[in-house]
Amino acid sequence: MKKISYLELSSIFLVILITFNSGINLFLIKNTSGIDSWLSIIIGYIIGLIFLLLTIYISNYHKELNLFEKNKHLFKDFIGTIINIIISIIFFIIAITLLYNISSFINTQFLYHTPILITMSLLIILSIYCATKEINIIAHISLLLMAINIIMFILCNISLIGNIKIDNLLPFLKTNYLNIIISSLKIACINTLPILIILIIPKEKITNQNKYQKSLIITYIIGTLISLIITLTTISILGIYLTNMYEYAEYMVLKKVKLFGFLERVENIISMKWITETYIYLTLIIYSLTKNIKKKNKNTDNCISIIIGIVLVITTNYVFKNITIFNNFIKNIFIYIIAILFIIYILITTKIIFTKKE
Amino acid sequence: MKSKTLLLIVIILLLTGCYDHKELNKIAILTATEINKNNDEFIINAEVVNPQSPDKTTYIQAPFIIYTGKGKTISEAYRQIKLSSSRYLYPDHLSILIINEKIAKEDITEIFDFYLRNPSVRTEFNVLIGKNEDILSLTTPIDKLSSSSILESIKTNNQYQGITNLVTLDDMSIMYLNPHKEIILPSIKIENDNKDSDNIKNTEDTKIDSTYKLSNLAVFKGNKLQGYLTDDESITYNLITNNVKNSIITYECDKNKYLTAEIITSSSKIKPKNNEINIDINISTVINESNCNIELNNAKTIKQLEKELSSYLKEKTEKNINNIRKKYNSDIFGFLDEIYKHDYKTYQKVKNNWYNQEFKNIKININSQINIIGKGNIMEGNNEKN
Repeated sequence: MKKISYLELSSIFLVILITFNSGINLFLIKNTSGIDSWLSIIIGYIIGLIFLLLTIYISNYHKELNLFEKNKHLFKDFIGTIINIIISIIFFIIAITLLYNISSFINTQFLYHTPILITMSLLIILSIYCATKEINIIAHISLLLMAINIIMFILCNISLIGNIKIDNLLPFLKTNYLNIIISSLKIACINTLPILIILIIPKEKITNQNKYQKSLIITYIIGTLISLIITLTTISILGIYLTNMYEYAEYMVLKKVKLFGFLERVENIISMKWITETYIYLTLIIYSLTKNIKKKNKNTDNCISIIIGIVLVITTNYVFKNITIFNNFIKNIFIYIIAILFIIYILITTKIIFTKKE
Repeated sequence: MKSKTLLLIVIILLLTGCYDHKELNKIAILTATEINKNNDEFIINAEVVNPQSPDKTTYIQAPFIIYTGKGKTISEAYRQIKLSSSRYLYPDHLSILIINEKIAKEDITEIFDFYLRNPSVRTEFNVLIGKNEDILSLTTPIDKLSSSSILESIKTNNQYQGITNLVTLDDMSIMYLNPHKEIILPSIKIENDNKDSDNIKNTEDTKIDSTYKLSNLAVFKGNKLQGYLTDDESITYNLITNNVKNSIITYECDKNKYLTAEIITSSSKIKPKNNEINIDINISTVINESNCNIELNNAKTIKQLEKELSSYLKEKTEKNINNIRKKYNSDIFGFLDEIYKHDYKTYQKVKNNWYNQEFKNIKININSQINIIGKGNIMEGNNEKN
């Protein structure tokens, strides 16, 4: 099997770290930490460093095994399967959240009259097709798309510099400290806990394993910076009052982009970034879930991916009847579901420590 | 291979965007809207571009059409327009929104929701207060569309006179949502409104009968229009809020003799400190016209003139700010916002009594600094014959 480069690994890792900036991060924290949301992002990602280090630690245990195989190896068949099922359910919930988030964004901003089911189906068909390929192909696609995304991100942020009003970030640190901490924990939960999914790629599949740790840490710093820049530009350009009012404040900022000083109305092209990030994330989740329900027959694997995709669309449609239900789910339930991954981290790490001691 | 081909065909069929596609010949480009209210009903005048035939020999058509719709909500009024228009109103190119002062005096809040909620409307269009009705119907020379004519006039006035101001819906929403600031909007009116004003005839004579005039800035308090600033007060507002690109200062340098200094660059900063507001205004000017007997090639005279101009501007600014405070008791300058951002301790003390007591009485120190950086082609001042 072909190996994947550390750059490709970094691109997948970056997707996991920043995809929730597409309308969810700021939505979750703007009401609690207000003007100081940028501080919550910093603290959140600092807290998340713990999970990054744990991920690196877990990856070094039986480098040839993926996450699900590691669990079965560590906890034996019965408990291992239960843990894998829990992880799969959490990944599945992340997938339906991402799918609804991006579909509702497309439907409210561009395709007002198109049924959301069609938007979802289009996205999921692409993800299923990609997920039926090997991880090195997914990694190739991810690297290509992320390279385009980063160029677009840099260009649009350079053109936004003129619109930034530092005054909109004042007064500094006047939000209740407890609120900032709560927001930071939310950020840590949704952006950094799911990095567990990167372990679906066994460390042995990376071409230059010496750079594994370094590349993950550098990518983590880049991811933190991207999230921070998005938060800072949104609040400093729109001001906290408009940011609080808009459903997709990050997208409203993109409406002010003038590429090279004259190319206006490019927000739709730039927001393709959101769609491509979600697409890679969804592909990775479908791929992981397929790997968990592993069959040796390639055709059966493809069937499993298709079934997972169909179930994803049906569940998303059934669970999220409208955007208000979705928003309430994000605010009140989603965080706690993802937080279960924290327990999984602790379980796996403790077990590895004990196994090594034995 | 077969399955891949099938998948491609399915995707091609799905990617036509058929649910939301709009052909160019099926849409009417909406460029401006004027909103009025009568008996709890919104009346909307929508300016739509009338596509012209490239063949110049055909009959002359009006460059734009005004459609009118009524409804309990703005949305309903727009929908009603569709009964008389053969095409779908495409709002993405909306550049002007004129709100009639009748609505502004009642409650401006009702306007916000539709435009901010609707994703097909861009929020970068300009908002004005209309002092008359049917302003958009006026035909104008040079710029064929009344919306682009109004928009260019505001830009020109803001750039060369500094009386009016460009306020987009986003700016207006920020002013409205910010509890420490009040709304201020430019206004417009028609002068000599007659029966030909909405006819192409209005542009046929060299002396135009009916024309619109950009009026002074409209002051709000909360969600209600309170009144309009004078020309001088408008310039003061724009100077303090850094909205002046180019303007003039006319100063009486001798008895009934005047000197005009053109503002080249200006910057101001509001600095709250210890329950006082300090405003620093720095201006670079060029002497545009001098009808006094002044030696403009003498460095001492220039310094003296700079001093006089600075103290003149200081007096004028103080007077205008106090007038605005007294007349409207509306914090259009955003003093409370500055206190909130830069002096949080004072903010905690004054926020509850801001309009009742603090805003009227807060001490405002103005520090104006005018530099003369040029005096035009003439070396000296206007030396009178004795």
